[in-house]
Amino acid sequence: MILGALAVWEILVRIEVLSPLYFPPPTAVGRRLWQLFADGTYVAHGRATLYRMAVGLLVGTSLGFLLGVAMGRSGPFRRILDPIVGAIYPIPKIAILPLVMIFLGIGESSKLFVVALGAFFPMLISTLTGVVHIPSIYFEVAKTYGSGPLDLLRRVILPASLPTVLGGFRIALNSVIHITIAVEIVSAVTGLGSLVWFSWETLDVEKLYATLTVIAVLGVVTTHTVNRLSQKLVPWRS
Amino acid sequence: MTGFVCESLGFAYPTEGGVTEALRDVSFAASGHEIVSVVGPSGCGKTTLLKILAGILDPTAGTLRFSPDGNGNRPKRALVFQDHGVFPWLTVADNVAFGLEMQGVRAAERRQRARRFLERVGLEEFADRLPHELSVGMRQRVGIARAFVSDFPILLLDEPFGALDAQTRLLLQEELLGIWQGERKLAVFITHDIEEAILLGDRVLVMSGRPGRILEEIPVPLPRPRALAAPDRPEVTEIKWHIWHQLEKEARRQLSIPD
Repeated sequence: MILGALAVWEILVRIEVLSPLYFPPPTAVGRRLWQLFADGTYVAHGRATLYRMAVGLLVGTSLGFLLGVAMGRSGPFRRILDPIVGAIYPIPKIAILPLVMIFLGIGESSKLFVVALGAFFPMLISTLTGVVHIPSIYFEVAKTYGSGPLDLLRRVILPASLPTVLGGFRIALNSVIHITIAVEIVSAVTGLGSLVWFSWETLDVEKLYATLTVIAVLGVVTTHTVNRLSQKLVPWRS
Repeated sequence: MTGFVCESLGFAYPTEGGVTEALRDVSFAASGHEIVSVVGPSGCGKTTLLKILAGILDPTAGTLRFSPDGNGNRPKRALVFQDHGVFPWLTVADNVAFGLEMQGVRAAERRQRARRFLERVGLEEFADRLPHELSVGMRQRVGIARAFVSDFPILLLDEPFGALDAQTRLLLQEELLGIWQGERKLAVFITHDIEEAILLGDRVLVMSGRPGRILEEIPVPLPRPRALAAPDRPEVTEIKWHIWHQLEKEARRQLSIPD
């Protein structure tokens, strides 16, 4: 299907139905992609993007998970924080970047903070939903058999909320990909997002398509990996 | 001796329309190695009573006293639920060993004890399976095995066979009686099935409609070990109809239907 579409695209460019200025032929994009890999451009910029994604995802999902569990288990805590979360969550995270740069400067910290924020909210909301909806019978069973708070967390709360938490992790991952690329377009000199912007500035359309292809592959590979991991981690949902 | 005494137990909870009273003035005692069956109409507070005995809920009136165990503490109580009581993320063996794990029993020992009980309930070949791979009846056997293997002196069973078909229920009743015969614990058995209450219990407590009260306490004059054919005996039939008329009266009262 994809190969067929690429073949049609190639033919339409060659017979001059499509302009190569806007739609460079896939073969040319492929050659450019290979060249940028071979000269190390994608390795260096890809590493910068992956680093931001990994740190943002790790920090954001960890904090989101911990706060989600706390809010899920404590009614008063939930009632206090719910309106604050509700107010901040809908703000596009990229719009917060200028404010964050005022506090943290224009270096790496502000970028990581905004990416982490993008992972934090989906994880917080999914974990909160997962924990609140754990059937009370599981807590009752655990209580009658003498579970302490740590046992409860390890043996009941974590596994019972895991399917929803993993759903949140998948949304957080997508959010992290979007925000990392957006942050790099806006304010970075490294990373795949900065390459996209630089390609536009220099009207290097082949490089633009090639970089977008790398970003798409990155998204597909990471999402697929997390999906496979989810199936392995929650076999009782199969 | 293991036992407890309920004195004028009551339980009420706030609702939108005010306060709902689930239990009122419930008094009874149980001790030793008996099975006390509790029957009553739907919504009469049977499960609430069991949750109070389990320590999940605190009564809002009255007192509940347990005779202390060897360490001077309240005796531990194992609860068996109608369904969904087994953890779907744990294997059958880990579910059965859950109580032992919470008591701090070492992994090797709890595995061994869980396996031994799984053999007794005929589930040894399913030890490493997850509960969703089992039938409802098999899952109930896991719940029962978990309660017995934990070796708590008091068993609280909340309609454990309520979701099963008649044939499976009969088999599991037999299995439960068989295990209980060997382990001999104090058990409180909640059911809406009058025959089941008589067949398993040493006495039957009949509860009224909401707010639940104990209407009557009926001793079951059947020797142990019991055969499942016992319900056909005339004294069982007599008790059964007596209880049935009590419950019918309660149902009429609840629905405001004259006798």
